[in-house]
Amino acid sequence: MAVDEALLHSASQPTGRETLRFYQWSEPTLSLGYFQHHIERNQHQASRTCDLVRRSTGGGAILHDQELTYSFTTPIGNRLSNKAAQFYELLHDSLIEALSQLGVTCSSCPCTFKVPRQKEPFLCFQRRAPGDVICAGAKIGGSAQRRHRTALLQHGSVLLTKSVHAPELPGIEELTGLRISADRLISAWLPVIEQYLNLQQKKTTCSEEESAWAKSFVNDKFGCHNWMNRR
Amino acid sequence: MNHEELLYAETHEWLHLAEQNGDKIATIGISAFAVEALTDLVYIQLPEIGQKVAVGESFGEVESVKAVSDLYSPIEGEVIEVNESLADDLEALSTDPYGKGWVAKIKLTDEGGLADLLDADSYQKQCSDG
Repeated sequence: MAVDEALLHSASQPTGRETLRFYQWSEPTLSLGYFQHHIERNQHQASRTCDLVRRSTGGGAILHDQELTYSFTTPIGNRLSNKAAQFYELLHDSLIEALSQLGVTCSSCPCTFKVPRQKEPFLCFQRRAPGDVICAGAKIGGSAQRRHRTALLQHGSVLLTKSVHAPELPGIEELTGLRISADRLISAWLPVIEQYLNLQQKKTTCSEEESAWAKSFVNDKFGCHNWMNRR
Repeated sequence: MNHEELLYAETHEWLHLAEQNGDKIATIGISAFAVEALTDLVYIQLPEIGQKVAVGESFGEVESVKAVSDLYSPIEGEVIEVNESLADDLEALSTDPYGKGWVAKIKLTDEGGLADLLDADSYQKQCSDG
């Protein structure tokens, strides 16, 4: 989370650029959406022993275990522009195409109904929003954003296989019988993203400055009791 | 409030300035354009009374279906009142953004930020230009 925040900070600098980051988690971890109350985790028994973090992006809780997480950061001229909202669509449509190449048929959720906030399920993958990636009736891909004045962070997750810590959520493997590794998905997805977002791929690591920012975000934000329990 | 008589920040907050007991008090809200662009707001984090804010600093947050966005203070001052009713009536932000949808009242401690605010016509142009 701190690295993603550092990349968001980096994107907001005058020399800011787009960065796409894929990662998985060393331990099964529950990430809360920015506005979720930490005590809500108690209602989800299967993940109660898992580590807990709070994202700076919106949406519902995600159990990071048998899944692939991505973050996308980019400078934006206007946080309210259609372009900012279109990154959901672009990343999700590119995922649908990449999965199709791997033999998995998915579609974009057309839902337009609005569920009152109080009635939203705790888990992100039990919620539905337009553009969510649906496979055999279940949500397997979703994203949420944090928009600053001049930069945007989009977090997303793809459920590859069901986790014992969230057994109510089937992954691609349970839904299709196809076991797709994170590496295989990344290999298929990257060139499609490159095409959809008109990006030129250049593999890189965090700069020294970004690493320093990430450390400070651990110390001042994500590693703090106040951040975790702010709601 | 008549939205044509308000001042606007480039970051889409509106401001109405009034004098009260010799102090300048700014009522601040979110423009109708911004509320519509944010789409389906589900939550607002209001500032705290007594909170000091600086020009361009985040003083609150809103969550739409999937995105969290900051609200930026167009002025420097101290929050003296917040619209608590928004927590249960977010609809007011879209149905009456310049009235019942006000967000906070801030007592100015410096007038430096005022010069950078836009009038209604200039703000409208900014929105049209995208």
